[in-house]
Amino acid sequence: MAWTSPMTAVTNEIFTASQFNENVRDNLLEAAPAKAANPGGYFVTTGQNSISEREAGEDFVGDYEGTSSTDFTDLATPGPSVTVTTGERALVLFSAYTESIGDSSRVAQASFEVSGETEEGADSAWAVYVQNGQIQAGTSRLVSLTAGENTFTMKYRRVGGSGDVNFSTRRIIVFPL
Amino acid sequence: MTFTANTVLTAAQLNTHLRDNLKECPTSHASEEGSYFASLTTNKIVERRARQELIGTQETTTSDSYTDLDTVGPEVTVNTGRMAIVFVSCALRNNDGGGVVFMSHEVSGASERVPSDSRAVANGVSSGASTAASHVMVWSELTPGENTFTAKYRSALEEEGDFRHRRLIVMPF
Repeated sequence: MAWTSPMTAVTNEIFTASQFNENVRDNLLEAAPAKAANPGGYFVTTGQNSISEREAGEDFVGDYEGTSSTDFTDLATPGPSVTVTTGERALVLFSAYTESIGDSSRVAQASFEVSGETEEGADSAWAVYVQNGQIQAGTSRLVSLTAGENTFTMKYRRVGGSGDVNFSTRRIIVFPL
Repeated sequence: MTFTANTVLTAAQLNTHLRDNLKECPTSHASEEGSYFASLTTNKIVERRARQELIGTQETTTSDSYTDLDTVGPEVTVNTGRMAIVFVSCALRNNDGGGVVFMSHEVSGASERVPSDSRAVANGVSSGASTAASHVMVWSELTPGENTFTAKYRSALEEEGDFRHRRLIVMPF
């Protein structure tokens, strides 16, 4: 069933069962309460006169781990990682303690990749990073996606210099739209 | 209304209480994929959509007061109610010394708000050291209507501040 623009009743005309079913029953079934299923869910537009319930996802990895990889990679404990059903966009928030100490030319970067319906590698254009220091901070991005089940996974790398860069308190939050 | 047994339900009542109320539901307002819904006023909702702009170009300033870079922005114009969530993100560094460099934003249009260090992502790490991060805040008392959010930049001590991967996201409510 789909949404129908509610009819206008006319005095002295019979209101039929068919009209009731199309204009009242079927429309109420397209309204937010009929679609509400998960506490904390919220509603987004999925098309003209069409809405869906979405649920945000969050994951956290506390472990202090490092890498010397110059390509975005997993740490010893992969992630954090969130899998959600999305439309064509999602707001992604992520943060980490990020550390590169002792080599002034070396940068520690944390970013995220998307897999599933969408395939997009991690990139420094949406990374939190620090050169020759340490920060605990996050960043944000509104991501374009192929609708469906998508997985968002944090990835890490070293840029420049040598040796390990380190990360901990790693968190990712995804608000699917 | 509350229906009463043995009372005729009129066309006018049907139109007011069913047709017109159904037209105020989110589904009736849903038009742009990926949008969400916010309260506009008592018993009235509106569809809202988050907007983002990204400028990847690396540019600099030595201005100690908030200013534009050679490429103005990023900038986002949206219809808002009283509230909006604003994220500013970039990679930033001081090329000359240890002064702090800042990326904030201003609001113009229905509302006027100036940029501020208290609403900025900043880097005070030693000269030439890059940091990439974000700042998020909520405006809760905007003037409803069309509001434009524009990133602004400054570099303390008039040293050269360097900015790239500049992103601005606004979620209007």
